[in-house]
Amino acid sequence: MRHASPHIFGYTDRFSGRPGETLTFHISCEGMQQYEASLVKLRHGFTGSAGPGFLETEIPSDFDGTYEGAWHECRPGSYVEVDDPDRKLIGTGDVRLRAAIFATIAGDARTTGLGAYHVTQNSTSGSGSLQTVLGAWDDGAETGYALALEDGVPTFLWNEGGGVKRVHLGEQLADNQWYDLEVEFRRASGTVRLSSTPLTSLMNRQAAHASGLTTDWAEALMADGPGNSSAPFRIGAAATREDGRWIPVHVFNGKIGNVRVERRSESAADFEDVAAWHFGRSTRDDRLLLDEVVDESPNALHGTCFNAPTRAVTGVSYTGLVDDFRLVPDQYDAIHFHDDDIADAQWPVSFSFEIPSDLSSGVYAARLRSEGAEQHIPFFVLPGAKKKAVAVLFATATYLAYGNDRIAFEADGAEVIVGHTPIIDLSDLTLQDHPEFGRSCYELHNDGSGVVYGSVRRPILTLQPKHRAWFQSEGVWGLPADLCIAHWLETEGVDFDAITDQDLDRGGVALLEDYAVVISSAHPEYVTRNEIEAISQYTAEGGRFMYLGGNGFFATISFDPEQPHLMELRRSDGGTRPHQSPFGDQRHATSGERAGLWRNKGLPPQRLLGVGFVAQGFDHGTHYVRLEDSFDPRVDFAFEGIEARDIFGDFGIMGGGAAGAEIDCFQPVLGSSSEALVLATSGPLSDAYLLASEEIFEMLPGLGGTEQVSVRSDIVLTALDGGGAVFSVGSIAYTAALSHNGYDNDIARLTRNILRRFIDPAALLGTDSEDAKLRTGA
Amino acid sequence: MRTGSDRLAEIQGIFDVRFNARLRESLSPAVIQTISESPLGPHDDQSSRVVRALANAPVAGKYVVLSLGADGPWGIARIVIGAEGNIVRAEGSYTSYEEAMRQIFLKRVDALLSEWTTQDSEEQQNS
Repeated sequence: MRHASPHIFGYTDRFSGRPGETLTFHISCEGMQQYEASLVKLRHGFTGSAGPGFLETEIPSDFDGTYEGAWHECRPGSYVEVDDPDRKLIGTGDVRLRAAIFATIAGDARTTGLGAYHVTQNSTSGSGSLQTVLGAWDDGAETGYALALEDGVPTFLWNEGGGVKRVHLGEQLADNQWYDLEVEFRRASGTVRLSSTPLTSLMNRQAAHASGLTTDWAEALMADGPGNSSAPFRIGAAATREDGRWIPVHVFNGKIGNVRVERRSESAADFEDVAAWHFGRSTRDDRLLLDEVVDESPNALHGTCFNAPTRAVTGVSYTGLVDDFRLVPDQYDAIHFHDDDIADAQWPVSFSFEIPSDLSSGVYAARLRSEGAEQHIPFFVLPGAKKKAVAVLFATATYLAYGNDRIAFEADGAEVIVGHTPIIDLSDLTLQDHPEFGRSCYELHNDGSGVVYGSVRRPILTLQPKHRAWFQSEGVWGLPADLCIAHWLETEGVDFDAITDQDLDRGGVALLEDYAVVISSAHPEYVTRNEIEAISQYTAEGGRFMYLGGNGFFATISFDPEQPHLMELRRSDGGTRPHQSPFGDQRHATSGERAGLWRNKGLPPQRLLGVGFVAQGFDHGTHYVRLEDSFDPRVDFAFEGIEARDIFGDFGIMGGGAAGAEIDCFQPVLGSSSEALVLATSGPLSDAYLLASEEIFEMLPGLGGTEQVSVRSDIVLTALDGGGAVFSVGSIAYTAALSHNGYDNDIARLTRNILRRFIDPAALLGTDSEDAKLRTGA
Repeated sequence: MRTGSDRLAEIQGIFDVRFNARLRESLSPAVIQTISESPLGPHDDQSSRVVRALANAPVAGKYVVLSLGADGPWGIARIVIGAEGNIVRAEGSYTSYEEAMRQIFLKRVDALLSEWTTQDSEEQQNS
């Protein structure tokens, strides 16, 4: 929805690049003729007077200048497109089109009260009454043909004699039920026959006969086969020509599988495959299901997925015995399409940026300005050949997971989960006017299924450096929170290299080698297995890691190995989660990895960091209380300059305390080293902080912070054999307290002392042998 | 023909009667004063029940706080899908978000008391 006020939107092709590499920028303007683009270094995001304010520095660059502003269409909706230059799919003779479909909103809109937050309304518009199963239908010219659902009723439409003709069945299909749809046109008789047949599946294998579902068919005259169209053949959507490309329209919601096109020549008795797509089949050695769709017919009319429909979902033949699509591909011959999927807005390149060799690693943005509008397109410049002593691992996967969060506008439970009335940032209203920019991975699609992909290649308004999240008073979240770390390091005079989740996933431990210290984001919730292994190896080999956040290394994500701008985040059936992937669909198509919490997969964050997620609440933060270990003379260095003997950290941008938002505690039972030093624990937290569901095996009364000892944040220092160490604060609010009183405070002092000591290669708590004694208790 | 949604709505209606009876009992002048004085809490158990009950209301038409500047002011608005920004702003602005929350709480209480008064009146007329 476009309104009169001017806006600039944009995105990069990827989040990060090294000197010598080129990033592309894709910009769309509303209500303006031109805009100014500048390179800026982002130094601090939060605009309020509780911190240093918004800080950026202009850096002269090749792309600085004035650009013509043009508007571009961003059209969500996922589909498969098949390149069929020789028009083999229809051709001559009798033709039969077949597909198994599992419509999720054939009838009413999604049911209400869904997901953890009880979603009861939809702030985005859907496909409308027509949902395309397959065809080559040009919606603008009304030419070609399409097998579709029209108001939930199976329909075949085609162009004949310059007009649209239709044959449709008598009844709306049932939601969430597999049907076989078949269209056959016979040239000799000049007829087209459409039928639907309910199919048995795991859900109703024994009871289908009792369900009242019946086969239906209809027939109509068709003069000369389906009409020609210049539109591409698509599965899951029709096409219309706009903005110089074929954009998706009338997108299907639900699963489609077993798609075949068959032909019988005049002389032949039987139909033969023209195309037989197998959505469970992969041509890759690792059998992952990425964007390629395999045609097993001799014509090899392979397809390509657009806008990331969900693959590795169960098909009609799923037996429920094996949940790995790589082992039983025939049972995964299905793709789940959504009319609100968006993985690439496909805007043209507005300008590009070859990263100069002398540009220091860090957080940058293309700042776009016009009268009445400003937008930053953030990106990260990775180090060149030479590394600095300190690296910051920016949680780009978590940025994507929360990207374009719209929950406060759709869920009854939004207010309850944060413990107060949502506080809406004005840019969230702009997002509401642009549902086409897609949803976060915390939300539900228009059909009620969970969102499992996040992509860099679309405008992400929550990534704006000044953005505030609705769930925390003065909520710095994601990139704005991590700019608190960047500016703290700047005030400390410590240059750092910026790296991202995508980079660490690909580069592994080699990316971390040579750094004296690696610092985490404030909220590194989502990581890949490669990242956990890299940090584990880095610290085991002497590296020192500062985990300055909460809820870290919590749940599984993966990046598409061929399209790293695309992140996958499915949800398993246990632990804290906003929604849940269906049974059989809980394995990532892009990695083969099972979805879910790392603590449930043998890699608890407690083992890596000394602390792990235990609770969340968003009403107030609190202080820390020093514990006995903090007075151990071997950690005097950590508390140098800190006069407080008891309480410290009772301040901060987020909720007024350094301990808060999402918090982690020391848990030896889950892998926290029992030799680790627990330096401090949080002050009292309200019952808005509830024990995380993964801590609960059976429901018991009294799960809030006033009744549960586990609901706390602990600051933990773990020294490792070989000189490595991990310092963990277990609180998202912690880094938002660093800038209090112009960085002259005990949180900043403690963090500085740890950083300085971690940079020093000397043994951490004394001599190497003393360190060993401490660890062994000898 | 009755649908699954119709059947769930019937059950919801029965639950709502019980829920509102409990809420009505809990929403004492003392509780209203407690929450008004500290909309962000923390609250005692009885006040917390009331806060949760109001916070759990359907999101359609629900009040939210708007952050209008770097250090305020804060406004309030209702969520209305289809309006610009999917909100309709209420008049006025506040110097703290807690004050905005307080105003929202009082509006909700007023709406509830008005609804109950109407219900009582209808029941009296019917009896």
